[in-house]
Amino acid sequence: MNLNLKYLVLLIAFFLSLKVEMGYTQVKEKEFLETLTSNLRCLNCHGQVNYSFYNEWIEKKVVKSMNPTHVVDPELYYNSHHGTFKCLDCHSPDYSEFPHDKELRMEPISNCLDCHEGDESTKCYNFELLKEEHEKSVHVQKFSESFDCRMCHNVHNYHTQARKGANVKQIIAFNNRICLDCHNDQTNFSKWSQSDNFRIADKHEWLPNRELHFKSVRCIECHAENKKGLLIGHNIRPKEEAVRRCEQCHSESTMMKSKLYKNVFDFNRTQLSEVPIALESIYVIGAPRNPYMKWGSISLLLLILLAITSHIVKRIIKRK
Amino acid sequence: MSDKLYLYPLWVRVWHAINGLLCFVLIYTGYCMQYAGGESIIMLEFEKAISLHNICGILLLINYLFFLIFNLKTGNKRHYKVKLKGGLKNMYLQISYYNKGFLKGEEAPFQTTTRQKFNPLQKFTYVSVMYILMPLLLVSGISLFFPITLMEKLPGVSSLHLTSLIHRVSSFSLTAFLIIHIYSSTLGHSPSMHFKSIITGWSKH
Repeated sequence: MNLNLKYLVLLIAFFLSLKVEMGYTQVKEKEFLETLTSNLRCLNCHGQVNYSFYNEWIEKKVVKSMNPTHVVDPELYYNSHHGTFKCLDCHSPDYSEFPHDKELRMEPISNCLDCHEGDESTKCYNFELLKEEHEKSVHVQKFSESFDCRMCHNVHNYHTQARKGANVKQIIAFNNRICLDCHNDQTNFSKWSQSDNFRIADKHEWLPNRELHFKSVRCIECHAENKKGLLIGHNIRPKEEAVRRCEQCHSESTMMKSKLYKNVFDFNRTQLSEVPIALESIYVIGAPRNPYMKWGSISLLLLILLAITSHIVKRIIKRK
Repeated sequence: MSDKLYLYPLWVRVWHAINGLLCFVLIYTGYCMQYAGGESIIMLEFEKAISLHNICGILLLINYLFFLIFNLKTGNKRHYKVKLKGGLKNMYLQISYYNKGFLKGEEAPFQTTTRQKFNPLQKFTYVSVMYILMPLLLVSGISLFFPITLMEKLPGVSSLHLTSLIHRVSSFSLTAFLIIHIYSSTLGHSPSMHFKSIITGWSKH
């Protein structure tokens, strides 16, 4: 396979137009260009749905479809948390040869903790606790440690979604897609279970306004146990332990405050009930409650009752 | 001399009774939904409150349509025609009567007849309730019943929030009206006069 200069120029121009949030702020431009150049060899094929190469056996240029699980979107990659890394930082250097040695598919893949355990720069995410919680989850209990981080998180495009001020609907859609990739897809689901009872809609027949719930809450809100110290609960519980009581969300002490809302709102600065409706896309019956409306309406009713009481008293007095 | 006047035909009395009962249930279940999560024994479970609220909401809509149709087809509609000229002054006179004149045993400024069964204050209130408040309440309620059909956003505002706000404000206004309506029904020649007349249809004046 030959390095295509045209692709290099295009990629550099592409990089200049990209909003590279994580990588560029941390790594010098020269180092990042080295990364881009190095990765170009890989992304020339793996960054596309179809790739071409010169087949020396038949002495012809051949076009083939890339295995979808081996496609890495360059834009998503360079905008991800791992966008500053060269492909060969994580993958065997033997991959620089093409065609790739078939033995390389047996290569052990790093998991998150191989890098992040004890890593000061990512201490805030508490990977060690994440691992502990994940190991308690129903996925690991059923399928052992082979159900690791990569089953839900794609390291090639991973970017923290839930953060202060983020779009709530986008967070929900992104997070739910992770679950639905298996739990609403027979092909992926069948990698782990022979059951054909995977349709999410069927399993949630009991839930009123089901579609609206799916769009308004993340699966993990009801299916994962929270853990102090973690942004997002990773202890996915069995379905029997899922939230079923409506009041757990639909009340003033809504559990959403310790889950999705905790990630999105700064509670030190803003009480949930004071968030102006013009700015907020979250609506949950019964939570939050606007204290001005609550006390305003109580006061008005009390005023009416007071007026009626005084009228009754006057009527009683006049009758005497 | 007291006259016995037939003020409330059967359909009005049936509609009124159903309306009142449904409003009570809707206010109660609405309260249970809005203030769910408490341990109070008088509160319904959220899920049951929602189901009951939905059923009664639909029945209220049907009852309201029944009122609209019969009001249009019968002579009852004339009682809901508001005269703007002198309206404020007449309402003030009626309020003054309730506040002072009634307590002194004075004659009411506006006599009830079969042609004018409502005084100006009643007319204004009932027209506001039946033709402004109730449509707001019902339309917002039905919209919340089908929340997926609501637009995601109106310009700059979450439509679900706005619809909910309209529904809560109009339901609160209706609650306030109900309290005042029940009490003002005791302001007849006897406290039970108006209650008897809405049951029998006949009123002594």
